[in-house]
Amino acid sequence: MTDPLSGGAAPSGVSDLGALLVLVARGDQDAFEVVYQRLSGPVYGLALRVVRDPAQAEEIAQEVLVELWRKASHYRPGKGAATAWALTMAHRRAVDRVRSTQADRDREERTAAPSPDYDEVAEEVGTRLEHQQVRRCMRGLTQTQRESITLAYYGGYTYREVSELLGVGLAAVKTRMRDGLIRLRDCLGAQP
Amino acid sequence: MTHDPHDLAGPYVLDALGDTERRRFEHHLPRCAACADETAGLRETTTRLALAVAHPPPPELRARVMTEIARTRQSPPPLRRRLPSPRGRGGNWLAAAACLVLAVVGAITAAHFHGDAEHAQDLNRRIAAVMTAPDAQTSTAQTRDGATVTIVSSRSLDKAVITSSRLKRLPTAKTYQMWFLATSAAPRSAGIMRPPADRPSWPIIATGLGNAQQIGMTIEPAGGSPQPSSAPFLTLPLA
Repeated sequence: MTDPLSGGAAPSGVSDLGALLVLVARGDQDAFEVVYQRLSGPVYGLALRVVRDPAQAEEIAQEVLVELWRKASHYRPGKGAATAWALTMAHRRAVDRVRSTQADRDREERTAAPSPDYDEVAEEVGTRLEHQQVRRCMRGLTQTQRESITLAYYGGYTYREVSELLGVGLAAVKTRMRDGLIRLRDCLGAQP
Repeated sequence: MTHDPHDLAGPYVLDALGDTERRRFEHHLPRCAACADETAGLRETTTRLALAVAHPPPPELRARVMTEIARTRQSPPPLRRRLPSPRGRGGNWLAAAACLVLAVVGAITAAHFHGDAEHAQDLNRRIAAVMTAPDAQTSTAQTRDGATVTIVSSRSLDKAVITSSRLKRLPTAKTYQMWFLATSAAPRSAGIMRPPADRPSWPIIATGLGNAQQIGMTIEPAGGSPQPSSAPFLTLPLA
């Protein structure tokens, strides 16, 4: 698979995503089209991973991409990479969606016991991660670190829910998430 | 109640906090450089997790997005960010207690020490020592009329930093007094506090925690009393 972030040539020769967003903030639709080419794959893929439903993932991707257009002037080059900014927005929206859907479902069904499919989530991520490196580094985590991060990030669970699912205390889950992320960071190196 | 927001950085970047905790942590971030740094670092990793599951969207999405942006007004750039105020935000900022103390100290320093930078620096140093002690613990309590008292205490340094905000102003014949409280001994004075009308009170650095488990607060005649003359109206746990 080609790297979704390497495609696209800016109209004015600008290729850095942050610089493109500066143009977008001034209403440059051509620059936005390049931003679209770069970010639609990561944004859609992430939403799809979290919500699982292609129609909902598409809705979320559309909302997030339009939000990037609308809020481009809020992007501050000094405060983290443009990709991180966009994907943070996408992830939060996807998670909000599964949580509100889950809340509706809980109200309808009034079920006491949740039916977690975390094995499925963990398994799927383990086998389908496109990026070999992330997969390899995930294998370097302890099982609880890997499960905590996978359930939270790809499954949209809160750390309290993760604590329930894994039968591990809240403090331990917080620590494992943080330690796991630090270990992943060290394994992945600083730059994508 | 005790809070340590710092260990929420992991769950925060994974979007694994509930709404309330998320807001609380976000309120804390601008006041805590260490937390902001850590969050930014961990964010690099979650970005990698996101990129690992990239997937091309259906081709129709492009046209829909381009049509929608063409009719969507862009939001103007935000003006320079003001410092978040701890007031009027309910309990959200409780988690920011540790950094709040520093903010309070900063404000007071600016207000009081125009000609006395050395004294201010010395005070800041002594306060910072307590706040950054490895065993420092923060607790915050609110009175019924909305005043807040925050204590950062460290057993290893045998010190506590006490700050308050919005404490009711007292007649000149009265003062607030803080007490070290232990189950097995009489209360010991931990200092007096006279809040100015228009800004948070001075921080007090109280030394000699001894076997005290709590700090209590009473109202006493100006100058303070050797023993509290009433039951404390507020108590906070020590580290």
